[in-house]
Amino acid sequence: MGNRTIKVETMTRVEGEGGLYIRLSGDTVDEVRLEIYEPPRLFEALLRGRPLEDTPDITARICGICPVAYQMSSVHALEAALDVTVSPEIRRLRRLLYCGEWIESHGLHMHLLHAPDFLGFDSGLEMAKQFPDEVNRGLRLKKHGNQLVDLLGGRAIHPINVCVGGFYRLPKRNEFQTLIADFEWGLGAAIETTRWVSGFDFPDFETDCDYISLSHPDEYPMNEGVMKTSGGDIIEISRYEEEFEERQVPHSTALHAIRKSTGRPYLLGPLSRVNLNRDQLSPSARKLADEIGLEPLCRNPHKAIIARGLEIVHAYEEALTILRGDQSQGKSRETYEYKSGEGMAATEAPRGTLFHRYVVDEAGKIVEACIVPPTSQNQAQIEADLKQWISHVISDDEQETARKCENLVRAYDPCISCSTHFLKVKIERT
Amino acid sequence: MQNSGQIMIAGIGSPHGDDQVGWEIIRQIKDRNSDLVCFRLARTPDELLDWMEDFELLVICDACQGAGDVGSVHHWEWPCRQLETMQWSGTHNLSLPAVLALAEQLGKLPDSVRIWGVEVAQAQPGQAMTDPVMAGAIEVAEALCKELVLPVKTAGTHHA
Repeated sequence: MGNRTIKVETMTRVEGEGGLYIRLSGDTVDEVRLEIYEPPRLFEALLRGRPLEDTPDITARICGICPVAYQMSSVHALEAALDVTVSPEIRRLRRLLYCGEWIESHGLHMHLLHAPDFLGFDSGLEMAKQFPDEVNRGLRLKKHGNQLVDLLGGRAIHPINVCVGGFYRLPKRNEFQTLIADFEWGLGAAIETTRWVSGFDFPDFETDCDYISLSHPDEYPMNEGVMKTSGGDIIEISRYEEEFEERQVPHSTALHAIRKSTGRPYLLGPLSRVNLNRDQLSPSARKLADEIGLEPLCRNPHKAIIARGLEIVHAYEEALTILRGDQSQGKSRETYEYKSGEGMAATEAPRGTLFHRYVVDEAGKIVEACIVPPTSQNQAQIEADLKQWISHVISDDEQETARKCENLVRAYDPCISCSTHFLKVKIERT
Repeated sequence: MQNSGQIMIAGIGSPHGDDQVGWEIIRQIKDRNSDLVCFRLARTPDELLDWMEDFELLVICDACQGAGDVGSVHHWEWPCRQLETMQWSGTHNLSLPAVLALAEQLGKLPDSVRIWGVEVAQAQPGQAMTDPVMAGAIEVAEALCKELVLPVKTAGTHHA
């Protein structure tokens, strides 16, 4: 077999646009490039000089799928800069809001974007012909997630009710209660979904990868914690930028990231969270993980779909606990005084840890902003995994090789819009 | 007039430049008649999947490109091959034709689906709609009120 290049011009079923370029010498992979070519979106510069209160609404526009993550990381970072501590009720409701985003994002990805790869379909539409019940179930889960974000965020996409210190308005008790019956159904459906995907025929493929996510002693990580690694390291959020370095590469307008201490890429997201925080999953999710026999440290990236399923189960169960609980209707937000300072925070977006850092001045204006999205951090690891994966799937049929490479990339659910925007695959044999 | 309780009119758009046109059509219609019809504002086509199930008629108003001069008005009945050859945006490859095809496949699609498009020029953040597109929005609103025989308020209540 000679040298060749394989290129997928437009990768489907990912958020955003970009390309994949693979250059081979015989069966040896010379180069793999995840080509993210969309223009940088410059949100950090856009925020400079603006009132800090604008930040959650502006950063939410970075993504239509995970706007809550941007709002959560931004308000937590700004609250750290202003020394604001939110009430337990606000904290609980922010977790509830995050549950909505996880349900909506994971529900869509599992059913319409990733499941077709395992079942041999090119699209969710094709899959719907043979699996209408499963696709309908996925759409219903997504709808529940949207309803929750709508209730707490004011609208399902780019919510506008989150503010520094809390929420502009708290929903009324009866508004929470109207969701309970649907969420009870949803919990059962999420369990069914996870059992379904755990039965897929997963490729025998494992990667040597550094799994990293937030970790918290009392809860499954969403809004706070320390960074934990599969190698056993603990990294305080205040040391995020000391440990993780963003680097520019010629073929991507999204920055790559490596750990400075190891010089290696790393992986964020649901598989990392489940690998590192399985004990903190809700009882039903934990039990389900045992029932389906998920490995204690799962190294197969294709099985991220199972991790997403477990996280939907967790999100429904935690949401139900909060929805059924006492909604005391205390004050909707904490007040604060402007002061100059710096604050940083990391929260768990559906696709992984999202870091924000802000410097604010005494007039309440943003002086400096730094946003490090999960997809851009995962890019280098995705390329490393692809390099390994290609040796498993390479054949004379370039279309089939390209398709299998796309399958792997979709397992990470990349959000190119967040990292800057995404993806097209090209394999070159020279 | 069709039972207005069975009609949903959805505008797809954003607050940016001419991309506001789907929402503007809804605003124009709401200004012209009572709340007899269900109105929805969507940011992405996939949102329609959450709402469409219980209606007999779904009317979708959206910006389009590649169908004619800026501000020109276009009207399609689903299914329509032309829609699939045009350029549509939507997250995760869920463009408007893809969403409607999926809904049809799953039996969620209302009996009748009509799509109104206004050709747009720009979708710049912070920009207003251009005049031809605003004129197109008004034209669609008036045509829809007439087509659906929606009760119309007096002209004095109209505003952009």
